[in-house]
Amino acid sequence: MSIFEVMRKLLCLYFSILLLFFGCRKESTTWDADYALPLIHTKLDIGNLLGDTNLLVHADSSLSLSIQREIYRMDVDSFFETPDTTISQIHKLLTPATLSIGPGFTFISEAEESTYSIAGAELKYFMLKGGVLNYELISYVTGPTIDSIILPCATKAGVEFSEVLYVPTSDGITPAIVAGSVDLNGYEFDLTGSNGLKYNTMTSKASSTIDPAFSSNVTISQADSIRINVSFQDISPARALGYFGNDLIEIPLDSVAIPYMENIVSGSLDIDQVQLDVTIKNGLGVDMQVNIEQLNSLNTTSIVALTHSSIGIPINLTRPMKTGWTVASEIHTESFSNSTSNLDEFLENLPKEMSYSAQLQLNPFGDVNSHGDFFNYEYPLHANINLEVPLCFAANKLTLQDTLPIQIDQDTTNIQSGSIIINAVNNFPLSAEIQAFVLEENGLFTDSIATSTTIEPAVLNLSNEVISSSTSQVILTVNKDQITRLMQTDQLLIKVVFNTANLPSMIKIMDWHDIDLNLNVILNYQHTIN
Amino acid sequence: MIRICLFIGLFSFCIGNAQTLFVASNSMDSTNSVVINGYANAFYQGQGLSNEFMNKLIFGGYIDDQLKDQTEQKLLNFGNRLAFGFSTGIKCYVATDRLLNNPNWNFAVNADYIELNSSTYSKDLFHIIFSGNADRIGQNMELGPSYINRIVFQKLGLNLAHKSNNCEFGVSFVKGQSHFALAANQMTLHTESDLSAISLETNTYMQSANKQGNKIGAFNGAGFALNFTYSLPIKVKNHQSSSLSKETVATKEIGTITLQMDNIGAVAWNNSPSTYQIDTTYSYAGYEVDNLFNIDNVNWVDENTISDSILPQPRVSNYWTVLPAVFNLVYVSKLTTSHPLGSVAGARYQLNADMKPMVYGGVNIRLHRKLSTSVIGIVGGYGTITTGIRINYSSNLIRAFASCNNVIGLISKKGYGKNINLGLQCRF
Repeated sequence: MSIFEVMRKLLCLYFSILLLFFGCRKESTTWDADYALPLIHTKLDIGNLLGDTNLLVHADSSLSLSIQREIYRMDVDSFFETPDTTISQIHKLLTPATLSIGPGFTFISEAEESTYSIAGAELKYFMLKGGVLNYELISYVTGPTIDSIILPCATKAGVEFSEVLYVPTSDGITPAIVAGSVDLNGYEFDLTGSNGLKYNTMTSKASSTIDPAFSSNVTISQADSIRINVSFQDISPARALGYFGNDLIEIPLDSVAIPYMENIVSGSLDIDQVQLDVTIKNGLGVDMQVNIEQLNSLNTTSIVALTHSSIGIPINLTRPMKTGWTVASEIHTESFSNSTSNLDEFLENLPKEMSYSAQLQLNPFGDVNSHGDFFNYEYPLHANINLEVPLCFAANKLTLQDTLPIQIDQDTTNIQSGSIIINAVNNFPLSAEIQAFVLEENGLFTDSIATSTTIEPAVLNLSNEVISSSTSQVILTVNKDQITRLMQTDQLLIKVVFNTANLPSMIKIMDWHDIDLNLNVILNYQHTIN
Repeated sequence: MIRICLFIGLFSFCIGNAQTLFVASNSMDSTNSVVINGYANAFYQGQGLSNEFMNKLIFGGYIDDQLKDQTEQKLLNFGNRLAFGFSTGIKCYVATDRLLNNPNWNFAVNADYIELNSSTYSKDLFHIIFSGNADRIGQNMELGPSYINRIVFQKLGLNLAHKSNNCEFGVSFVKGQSHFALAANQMTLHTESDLSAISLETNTYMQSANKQGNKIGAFNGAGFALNFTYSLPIKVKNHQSSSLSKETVATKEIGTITLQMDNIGAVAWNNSPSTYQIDTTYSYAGYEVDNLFNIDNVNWVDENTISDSILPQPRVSNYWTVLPAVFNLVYVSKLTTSHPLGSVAGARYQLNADMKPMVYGGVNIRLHRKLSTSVIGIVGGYGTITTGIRINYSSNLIRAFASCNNVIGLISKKGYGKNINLGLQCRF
């Protein structure tokens, strides 16, 4: 055997053994280690929880929750709706004779008055902040004409409305048509007619002249008419003057959500002095009566109707005054308190929504102001509710829940178990029990990853005032399955049960109360080396 | 371990002689036209890390808390050493009379595969890896100074060997397969007592040259290596009287001192290697939430964000590293029929390998005409004090040996590390 033969055999054997050795799979090496990590840090004062804009800070650092919502705003445009019709005027020669007229000759020049019906109102004046006048001119004149549409009642910056139209020649059978539109923004309309005594009346002029540049005479008879169609679109008044009618305006049953209340799912809340104001700010220059028909506290399961001497009774609103077009709006406030109504019961129903309905009666006594009603869109009529709740209350198992979006894109294969440690330094005179639920695949929050555990309230003195913070540590133990779902879910339901200290005494939340929360995890991680 | 022993045994049986504390002669005699040496060496060693622990770490199994605690108790606070490596190679000597126009020189070609993973680490680094930081809340964990070196390379070389002086030197081309080095001169991890933050203060330098991966085919660097071996026979005068009137003085060889230097060289890692210099204090306090009921939909624990904030952008530039050169100086006495008991002593050091200098000494025993053995005590290296043993077989055509630098470790779970060297020399 040659040396090369020996070497060849040795190398073959060598590589065979290499394959055998490295081809063997060994068992994985594994071990567990416990790692502690901070996860979330937050320091929350009441502003973080309720929003700074909803809080009123009083001189003694106490707080009130102030909720303001607009519940109604009058749509004045609807008062002055023009009929959705096209006004058509036909202009033709006054004489039955057939005339041959030369270029530059005006053969039609007519002034007219048109009276519009405006939803029961009798207007003397209005100014538009929006709207379009659409026109269409149909001519059978067998020569080119220059036509004009003039509205003497409509001016903008002192210049009356005038639209000049160049109309081509018709063959007498097929009309020549010119159409267009004009933006009416800024136009003021005098609706008193030519004699200044009428209402809802517009004056207009139409004229038609043979184009001076035309080279020959045009033969015209009464059959060669000119039809002008005019319509108004999207009229939006800025100001109006006149008599606005005596319509009864229904404000149908509607509701407004109460913030934070939608998160309360159970428990009871004993609230101290509460005030609810319904404020009507009126810039509409009419006599008016308002009737608040109902004001209800709506919970998922119960309704409490507010009872008060003003509910269901017409209330006269004072007519505002104006100087020029500057209006001094009148403000009318109906106040509801614990002593004058059942507001305490109304709010302790923990309403998620407040529902209401009302009626507005315009000019209940007719045109007693001799067409002196006025409107300036800068001074509307609107109604607000203003709920002011001093943060002085007693909470008994008051349970709030909310969903949190979370995203933790981690491979949790190696996490065996873990603990979520909540270190809390609490300056609030409230205890809190925390539960967390993971959104399941079926869309339900069924699995609690934390049993009820309590963050203790701050230490109080005999006057129920916070004198020092309390420190609590809450440890939530979670298993591998729960961690996996926690990491994979995109929503977490947090349920917090609040109890005020020293129940049933009421506690007062101050602007310096806060809670320092550190959420940390200790994870049992299994290292694996394959 | 059985698998690796089987492998090394079979492998070295096929190929030849080995690199070991017991440096053997590679000489050819006049009857040989070709001599092939092959060797294989595999080891892991670390003071404090028992075989029971290392077996599970390397060969698989669950490392339970009891084993972790036992192991950690054996560790020093700082300066614990751990290494594991594997090397194998073949060298073929070819007899010639014409090399360099000098009949005294032969030439040899060699091919080697060398992998060395070494580290120096603190007890706290071991703790955070194997136990975590949950039981060190409110404390500092000194993860440094800690050093990790991993290098894998192959070399192909040409050697000149003197026929009679047992002297040879060679130069090899080195193909760099994989390199990683981490030098954490300072690395302190502090976990706040209320777990509100963890901070890492570190001064760390890191190099990595694994752009093409770290499989055997990866060509991440190139370099050179020199090797040199010189054996000096120790001779004494032997006074013999050939007649009553005349005394003749002859010399007698009683042993050999061998100086061996291997892998003196460097590798240029030039396939877009990365270098990191981290000198910073990083603190992680979790995700800051300022409104519990209005949290943006963000990734609360984003590994990329965390790693980006700790790790600076790597600097990509080529760099050189010195090979883990081995220096061996060994004396081996010559065994004869009349002197079947001899001695062996030596010293060894390896550069750039987190290793302490090693000294050793022991006895050589001639058991049979073809069989001898050595037993030595070893101080230093990656362990503390270990016992080594070697068995040699020698015939006209074959020389073979098996040696171990850690006998207790080889046979006992309570030992610390395993080491086995096997070699075979075939003469044709």
